Amino acid sequence: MNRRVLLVGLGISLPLLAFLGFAFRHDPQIVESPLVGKPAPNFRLADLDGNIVDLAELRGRPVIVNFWATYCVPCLYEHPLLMEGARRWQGEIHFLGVIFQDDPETIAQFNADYGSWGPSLVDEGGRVAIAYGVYGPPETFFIGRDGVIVDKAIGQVWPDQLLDVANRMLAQPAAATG
Amino acid sequence: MTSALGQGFVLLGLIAAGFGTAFGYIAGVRRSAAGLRLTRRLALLFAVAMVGACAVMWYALLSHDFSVSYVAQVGSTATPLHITIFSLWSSLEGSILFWGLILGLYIAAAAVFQRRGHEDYLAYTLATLLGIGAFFTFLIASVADPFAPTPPPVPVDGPGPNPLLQNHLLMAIHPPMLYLGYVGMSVPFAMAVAALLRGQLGATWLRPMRRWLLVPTSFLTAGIMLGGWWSYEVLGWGGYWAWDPVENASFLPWLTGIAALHSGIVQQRRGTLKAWTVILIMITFLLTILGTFLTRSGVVNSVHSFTQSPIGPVFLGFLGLCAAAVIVLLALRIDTLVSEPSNERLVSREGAFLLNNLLFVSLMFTVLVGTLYPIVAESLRGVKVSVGEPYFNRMAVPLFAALLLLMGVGPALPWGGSDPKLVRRALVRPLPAAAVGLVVALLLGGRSAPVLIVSAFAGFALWVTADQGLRPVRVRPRRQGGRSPLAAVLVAPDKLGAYVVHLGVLITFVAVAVSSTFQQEAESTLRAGDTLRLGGYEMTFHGAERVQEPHLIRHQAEVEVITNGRSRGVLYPSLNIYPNQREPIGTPAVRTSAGHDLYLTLMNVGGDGSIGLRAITTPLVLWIWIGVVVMVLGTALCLIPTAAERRATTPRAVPDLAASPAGGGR
Amino acid sequence: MRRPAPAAAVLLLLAALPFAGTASAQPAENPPDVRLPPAEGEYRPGLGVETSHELGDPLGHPLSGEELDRAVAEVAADIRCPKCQALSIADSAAASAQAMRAEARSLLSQGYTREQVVGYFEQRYGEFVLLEPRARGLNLIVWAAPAGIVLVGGLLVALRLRQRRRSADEDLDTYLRQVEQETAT
Repeated sequence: MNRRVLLVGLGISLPLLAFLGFAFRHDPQIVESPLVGKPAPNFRLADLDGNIVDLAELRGRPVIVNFWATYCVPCLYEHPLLMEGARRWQGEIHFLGVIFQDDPETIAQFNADYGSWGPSLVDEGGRVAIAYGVYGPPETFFIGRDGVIVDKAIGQVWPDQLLDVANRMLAQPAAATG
Repeated sequence: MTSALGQGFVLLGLIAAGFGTAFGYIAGVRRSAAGLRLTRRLALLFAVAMVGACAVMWYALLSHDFSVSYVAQVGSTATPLHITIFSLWSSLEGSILFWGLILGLYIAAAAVFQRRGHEDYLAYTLATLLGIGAFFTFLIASVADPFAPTPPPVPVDGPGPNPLLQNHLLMAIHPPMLYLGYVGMSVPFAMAVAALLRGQLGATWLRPMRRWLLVPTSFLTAGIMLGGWWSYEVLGWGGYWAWDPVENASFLPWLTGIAALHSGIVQQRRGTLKAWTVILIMITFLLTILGTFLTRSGVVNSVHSFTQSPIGPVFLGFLGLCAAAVIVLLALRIDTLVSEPSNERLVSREGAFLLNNLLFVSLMFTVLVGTLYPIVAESLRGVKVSVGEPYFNRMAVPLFAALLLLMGVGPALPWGGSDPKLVRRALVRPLPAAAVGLVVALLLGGRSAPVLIVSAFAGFALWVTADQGLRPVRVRPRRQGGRSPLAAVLVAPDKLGAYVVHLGVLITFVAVAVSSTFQQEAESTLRAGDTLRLGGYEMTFHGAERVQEPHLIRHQAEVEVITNGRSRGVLYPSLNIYPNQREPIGTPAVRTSAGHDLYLTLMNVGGDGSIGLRAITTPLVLWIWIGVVVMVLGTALCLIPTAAERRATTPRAVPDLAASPAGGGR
Repeated sequence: MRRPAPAAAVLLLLAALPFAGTASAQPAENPPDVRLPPAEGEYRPGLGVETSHELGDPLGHPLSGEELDRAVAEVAADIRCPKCQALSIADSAAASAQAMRAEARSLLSQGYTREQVVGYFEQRYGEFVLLEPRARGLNLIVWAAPAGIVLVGGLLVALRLRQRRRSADEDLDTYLRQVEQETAT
């Protein structure tokens, strides 16, 4: 029995196998955002009709910012849920959609056909998406009353997740802005 | 019906492999000739079962039998015939079935060709191979069953294979080459296991092992090259190697396989490094399994990854099992492989081989750490990190440069290296060639230190390679009274072959170094009539058109290429849109010449008829592929039996005259 | 635990389903109008995103011309394209990569240093976008490993050579001694 071979072999292969085993517990597609817990980057964008939305002016109320596009299937699946949410928390939570690499005309057609749950903002040059570190649609940022990002959803938003985060945001003290 | 037939063949393979493993080991322990004969029959039966299973799947694919789940997954009536044939390996389950086929063919080949000259080991070798075969057939029969009946309702048509794989004919030959390389590493591995179980390593082990290692290494070389070429011709980013995790996975066993080929030479000449060669072969096999795991488990992000599936954990289990078996076997038996005593000096041929192994293993380790580190970081830090091209280039380039230097110095040095005067002369003689390399680089405009160093090393290595490779031709006739050059070469074709491989490596190495250093590119948005300029080229955009094809829509731009005021033809870079795919897939248009490539990719097509065009000129790309072809040709030369081997095998042709009983080693 | 979606949502979802098919097939109908980011200065005034307070003051000098091209290429080669696999934003044709290259160009032309621009992308997307991990903390493993293995391997080779020399010398010594003994008698 050659001990050296045994020890070196086990010393290299065991940790390797352990790490490979751990890897199954992570989804390679999901990258945690470093922005959660940080102030949301401010933006000023126009919607499809030219109305300007300034994030800073919405402070004091929670904001849900959803990056989406019509070519993205999970975005279509979460559309009814966001419609429902926007109706339910009307006047309590702002719902903002930021168009992610899609044609404004296609978006307008979609909104006309299926309704919209908030302004569809035109992000020219994709600079807002970069500031929010968006990997691909849909991504949803939940911004508290104080302008700090409370949570982020990657991929389709689920009903209980929306309910949970919305309640958390609404429970934040309505502190004076500024 | 088809499903049941296919599953029947797989089951037959599983049974043959299972019994073959058991009988083989028993036959090995008892040294039973009858047991060996039975094992060989089971090995052939396994191969027949795998051929049968693949034939059934091909039949199902070609007859669009959507009641077979794999056909429903990758088949489509709109897919052209040749792509339907290749779709056997376009998706996870089918690729494992195809893997089984190749393994079956290798096992059959080992059972047939090693009938003689490897008798002491063959029972163990076949038993080990069939053990691997049992795992793969188990996989095909359980978690990765391509023959599973489609749950009703059976669809009338399917989605067709992944569009990226439909895009280029290279995709038809790249995976089989890679699999032939990957799977083939099982044969030397099985031989190494046999050697440990026997507790001896003689000439009847070493010679067949080197041959069976040479073949898959060569396929792996070709497979990696074809992958790079495919990436270059299809993915449209202008490069051929992105240090993607799955590319790295194919690179790892290649590195250790080559290290083992070299340490085998020392073993042949000096009778040393026996245990080390065995260890390298075992690592090579484990790396092929690791690579397969990485590709098929979805634990790493990669272009080539198959989707996540239950196969991952099963494969990890197999990897763990193999690693455990290898470690225990090595620990128990490695001390039985005693090397012959010999004096070794650093500055000698032996020393060069040691350094060669050091560099190849270091390179493998570096790539392994870089590839797996993201998994480690995520487990320990909970953060996703990337280890990509800039890192690998920074780390690997110095090691490759050292290998280039060694490729020049090593073969120049004499075995033993005990005479300092001889050593000095061997190292001084190629220096003028190094100087020529340097001057050529300076004349061609190379100014940076790395380029100049590589050129000097390459000049040195080229001279030594030519000198050593042509030695039999130059020396033999004088000594043996005027043999023809061809006859001189045929005495030991492997010697010339080895240096032909080195020549190919040199060509590829220089081409890679030059092409990555002197790449130029330009990018612009063009309207019809606009011109983009790059280097000496003027590229005039004449308009884009939309072409409807059966399984895709192609937007292609017409770009006229002009140099020195003369038209050199028209290139059509295109963006292809497949149904059910969001991102369009670009097909670049490449104008290849011996000096450099002009590479055009379409970045986008605007609704107003404008295009985003990216143009890249890359020097010497063609020579990367030529170098690999030379390497493969060199390997083929190495496979021709030497005069000594031919003499040794002649008695086989006239058995009546062979007085000695069969079974003895030489 | 996942609760079933409200009935209304389910109905709407079903209504949207047929659309899902057409939407995903839609790019097949039109040219893929992936918009290039507008050139510098084309942004509509007053619109956009505030990046200045996260980046701080520009620490370098504004770049232009070839110097700017080179700086953009250098930064882009080190940033992973978020939508692709192993490619950098320099090599990728994806729309996200184009937008990020444009952003890098804009920031560099305003006088932000390369390090600031890389830091900005890291701050937004996380460490994942850096193709070369930063040499600190656990990441040092990946930086030290190659040198480590070469050193350890080199040491093993050196030890082996010494051992072999010694055993060869011993063989010679015993041989010589034998010869001496035999010649003495």
